Amino acid sequence: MSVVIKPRLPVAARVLAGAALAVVLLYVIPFAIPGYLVSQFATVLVFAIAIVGINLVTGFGGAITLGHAAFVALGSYTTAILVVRYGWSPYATVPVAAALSWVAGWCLGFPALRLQGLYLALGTLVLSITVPPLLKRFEAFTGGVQGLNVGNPEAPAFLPIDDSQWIYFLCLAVAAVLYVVARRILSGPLRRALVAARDNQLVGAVMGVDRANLTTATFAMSSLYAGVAGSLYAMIVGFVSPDTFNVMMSLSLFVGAVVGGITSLNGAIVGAMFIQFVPIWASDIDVALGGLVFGCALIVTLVVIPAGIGGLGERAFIWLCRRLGWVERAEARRDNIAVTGSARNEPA
Amino acid sequence: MTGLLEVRHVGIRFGGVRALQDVSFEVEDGMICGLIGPNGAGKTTLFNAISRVYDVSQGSIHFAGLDITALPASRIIGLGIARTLQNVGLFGAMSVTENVLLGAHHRLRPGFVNAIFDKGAVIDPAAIEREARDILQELGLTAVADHLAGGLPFGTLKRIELARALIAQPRLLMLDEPANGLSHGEVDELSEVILRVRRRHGLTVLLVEHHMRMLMRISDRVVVLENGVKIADGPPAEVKADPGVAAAYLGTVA
Repeated sequence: MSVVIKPRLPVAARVLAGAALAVVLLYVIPFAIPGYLVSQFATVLVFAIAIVGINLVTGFGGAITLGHAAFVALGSYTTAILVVRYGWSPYATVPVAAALSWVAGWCLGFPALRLQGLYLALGTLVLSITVPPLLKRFEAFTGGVQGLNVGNPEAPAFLPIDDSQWIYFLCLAVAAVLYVVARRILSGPLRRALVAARDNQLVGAVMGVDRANLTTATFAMSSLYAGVAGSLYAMIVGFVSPDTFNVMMSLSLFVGAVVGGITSLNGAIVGAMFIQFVPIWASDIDVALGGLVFGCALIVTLVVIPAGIGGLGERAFIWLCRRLGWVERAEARRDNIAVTGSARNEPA
Repeated sequence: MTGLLEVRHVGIRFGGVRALQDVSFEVEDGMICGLIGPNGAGKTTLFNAISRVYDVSQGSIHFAGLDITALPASRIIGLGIARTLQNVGLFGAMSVTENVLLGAHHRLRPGFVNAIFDKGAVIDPAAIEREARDILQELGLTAVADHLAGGLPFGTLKRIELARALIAQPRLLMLDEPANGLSHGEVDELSEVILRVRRRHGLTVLLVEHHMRMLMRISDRVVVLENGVKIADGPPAEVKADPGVAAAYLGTVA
């Protein structure tokens, strides 16, 4: 028998942790490290947004998706086409990319309901195989093989920061909002319903969970995350081309989700750093060994910590809170009930 | 008088196997109706048909005057039919309280929009949580409220399932072998619990049970199935005296 432990940090610890996080995200990364790394960290944030989408649909929706890059492509091309062909401001294209990918996700959620497990994985794989050739087809719109030159958004003149710092802060703001949104989705009744439908369809249905509806909505939400990530990605790179959004990108995002912890939102950032930096470091060691090091790192993660690095971190955090006594005490909660709850005190 | 639940000429086939044939009975408002029969008689199949997990091949099922034969399974609990499962359908990775709260899903009706904006909830989640604590207390489960459901003793799990069904605020409570795997003392206690929750929550109960003594004691009416066919239907005393029922259970020729 194991008791569910709810960590409860003292105010001082919370303030300290918040301050440390703020220093790292708002000072160290944008100002204290070399400039070329700043835009790499912007990419990390973008990958993290996409990976949160995979956390939703695979971690909680129970549907394996290998087609995430297709929605990233949709977001990227929405931004690119609106900016290049219609002269939109790149920032205004983000909500459009979000809405379009949500709709596309909703439409593709329907077939997703009819396929399960491996079949769904293969179905979505087909999606990411189809997208690059499709993008090459409609040259007038997509620029074909050449792609489209979006350009990097420039930092406003009144801010003393350069363009890559500006795009970093932009990605940080969007990622923060989407992180809070995902947290809210995955708290309370909706989380319960998702877990119930994922772990036992029959019991879920008996408890009134409409799995079909829920899965479609989750798929749509996950695609929205991918679409927003794609839109920001186009701004960071300043250029979109069909072959960026190939199967490798889908697989790589999925690997990031697994390494970070498939049900761990906090792990998404770790997974994103893994897929951004590990291949680079690996090819620094030896160009030919790049893929091998990446693969081995993945296998080691899966064997040693199947819950992912994020899952491990969360467990360690709870263990630490328990050791330090930073735990919401069950008795305290129950006393609280006696005061606030209705007066039904007959012993069973 | 028409019943709260009416099962009319229901037949179910799985391929060539007839799991149920032309079964009809009614459960009147406020009664405890027991459903018995040897293993494989079709009791759980009938339960699954009523909760729409299985499709019926013939006949129809009506609840409170509404034909529910073709409704999706996820609609049933919202209409007022809550059930427990024979092999306990709890989620081991959730706490006991979370498991119970899942029973209120159809009351909370969470969606992405109200989850994200924390607005537009149909009912105050805090009120439901209070209700869950009250029900856990009522069933003597307060001590395990914060435990993970996985790894708790079987008898406790059965009670948690009952709690989950109660928070759904059903009119009809369907219990699938609630006494299965319980000790002698626990069975007596369970009978008391069932009678008490029926009184307190104003329930109608449909009960599948192998435990004869318990079933005969608390049921107002007993329906007997054998090989998918209804062979007896009436008050417990009458059913007990029915030679066909004795034959079905003991294999003796009357």
